[in-house]
Amino acid sequence: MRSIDRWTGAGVAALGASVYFSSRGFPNVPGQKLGASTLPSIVAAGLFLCGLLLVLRSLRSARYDAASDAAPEAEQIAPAFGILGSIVLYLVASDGLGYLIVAPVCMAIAMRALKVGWKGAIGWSIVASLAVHLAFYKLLKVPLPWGIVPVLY
Amino acid sequence: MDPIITAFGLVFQPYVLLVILLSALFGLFVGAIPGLTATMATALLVPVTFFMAPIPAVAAIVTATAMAIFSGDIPSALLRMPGTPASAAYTDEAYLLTRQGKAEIALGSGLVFSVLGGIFGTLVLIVAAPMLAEVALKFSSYEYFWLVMLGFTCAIFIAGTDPLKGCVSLLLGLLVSVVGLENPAAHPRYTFGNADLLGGIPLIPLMIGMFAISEVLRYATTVVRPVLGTDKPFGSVFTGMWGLIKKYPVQLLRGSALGTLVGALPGAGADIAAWMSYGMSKRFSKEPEKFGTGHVEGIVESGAANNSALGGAWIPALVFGIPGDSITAIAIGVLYMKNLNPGPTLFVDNPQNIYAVFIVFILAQLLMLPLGWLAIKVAKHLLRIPGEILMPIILLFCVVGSFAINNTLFGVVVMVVAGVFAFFMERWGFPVAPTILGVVLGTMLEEHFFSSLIKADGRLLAFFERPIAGVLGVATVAIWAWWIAKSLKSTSNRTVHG
Repeated sequence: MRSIDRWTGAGVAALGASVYFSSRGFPNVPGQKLGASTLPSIVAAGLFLCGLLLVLRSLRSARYDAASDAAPEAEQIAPAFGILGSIVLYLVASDGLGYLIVAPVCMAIAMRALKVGWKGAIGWSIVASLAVHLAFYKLLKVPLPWGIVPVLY
Repeated sequence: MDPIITAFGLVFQPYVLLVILLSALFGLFVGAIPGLTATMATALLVPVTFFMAPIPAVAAIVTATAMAIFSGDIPSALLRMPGTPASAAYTDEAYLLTRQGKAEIALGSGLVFSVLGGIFGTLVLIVAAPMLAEVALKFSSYEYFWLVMLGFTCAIFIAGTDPLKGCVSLLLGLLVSVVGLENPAAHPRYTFGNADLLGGIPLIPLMIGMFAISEVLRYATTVVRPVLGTDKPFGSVFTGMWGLIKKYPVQLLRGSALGTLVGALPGAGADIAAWMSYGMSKRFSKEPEKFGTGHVEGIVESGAANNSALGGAWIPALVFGIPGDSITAIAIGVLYMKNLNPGPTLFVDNPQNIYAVFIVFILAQLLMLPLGWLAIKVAKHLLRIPGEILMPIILLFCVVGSFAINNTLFGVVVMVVAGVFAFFMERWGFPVAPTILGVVLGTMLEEHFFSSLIKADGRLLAFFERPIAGVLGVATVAIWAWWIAKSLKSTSNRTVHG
């Protein structure tokens, strides 16, 4: 059994406890003993219980299985940060600067994070961003922001 | 008869047929790319269907899903890497056939038996759904409450290998569903003063995040990328298929029937159907020793099962509004978006729409033969498209698609948070499907639980007093009791032997 389970279990139990206490302030339906807190309280109790069981199971298996954790697969973390960074950049800058400036930059960042060459990253980013703009803005009438770019079509 | 004629009129329009053709090509493309699932194809389609009339919207989803599930077989056979999880059960078998120079048999059986299984599932859907809808018209809140609970139970116990983690996933989904104003007291729950959260967490960006962004992140963190298994040209994929149909009729029927049944169970979809069918095929085979050496029998049975599950999954989705799998969970979101609220009244109020959906199902299966053949022909080129270019394009599509649902960046925020969350959930062994089920059915559960309790004046036994509710309730409680007893027994055995 994976040792991470005791940490995720503790997190789930803590989440359950906080949901339970925060839901106690929700009002009931007038004239009823039930209300907005009923389902969250049940969910909270379930989360708390399951979290505890995960922790207990993980501790118990650590006691009985000496080498229980499998070796992790080879992986790289940096590209994932590049991907997430490009989305955050879009969230922050697209309204102000406009889709046509920000989207190609974000795509280029994501492609570079995945080790695409500079020329390929720039070329593909511009072509794909324009194609998506054409499809969503022109055909589907989604109001993608123009920002500082003058309205072209 | 009139609704059927109207339904044909709704489907056989140039626009709808064009949508079906394009979504078929899209589904084939997405399914054939390893790492991109049929669920992801559906999630990526939703922002586009947002701008369509109801019938083309549903047609796009049905067609793309069916195609994606089949085309997952292509990289499975050529790369030893299933295009979708639904092909994973027989990947080794198909790849070994390819290595033996029989790629056309691996791919042809995948295609032909997918079509046959899909048609079987569709026929069951056409027959069973209206019959069930008639029964469902008499359902009260008690029956619906237990149906939802049974759905949750199936999702936890059938869909995952670890029921405890499945339970956590489901509860997290329910927690997401309680956000917003939609509750018995109309009190803003967990909105933190944010006006965007008053309407709850938007479902579509959430699903795009959980199914597409998490895949992009998984791809980004992967070091080992696939290599083509064969570069040799292969012959006609239809050669010898009639012989296989005559040789394995029982396997075809058994796979199709099991696939439809498993598909109809909430939370369990094409991938589980394929695994179960492969296991069953080996168990009842006259040549079990040939399994794992490049034997086509398992492909016949589980290939039929995964596509028949598609029709099966739509039965509870259309009749009760309870998704059979993650794909129909997304489809239910689309149905609500299009004011085609699923449930038995849909069969009474808008029968032409239901018949139109059935026609689309049949069309999609028939279209799979020529388009599937074409996809196999161009497969080698398709599989050479570099993922490092494709993934950022998908990422941009997800961002713009999530924005397009409400034309706000809030959708993009929900998408990225859900994507990161799903990435870690899967990494730590928590299945995502029960979470989606919890989000989709949370409001329905609360509504029926609440009205049932008020009707019963707080008396819990009333939940078991109506016959169908009683049977559903006892079945649900029995499954839970069995699991608790089993867990306690294994714990005590472990303590004794440890």
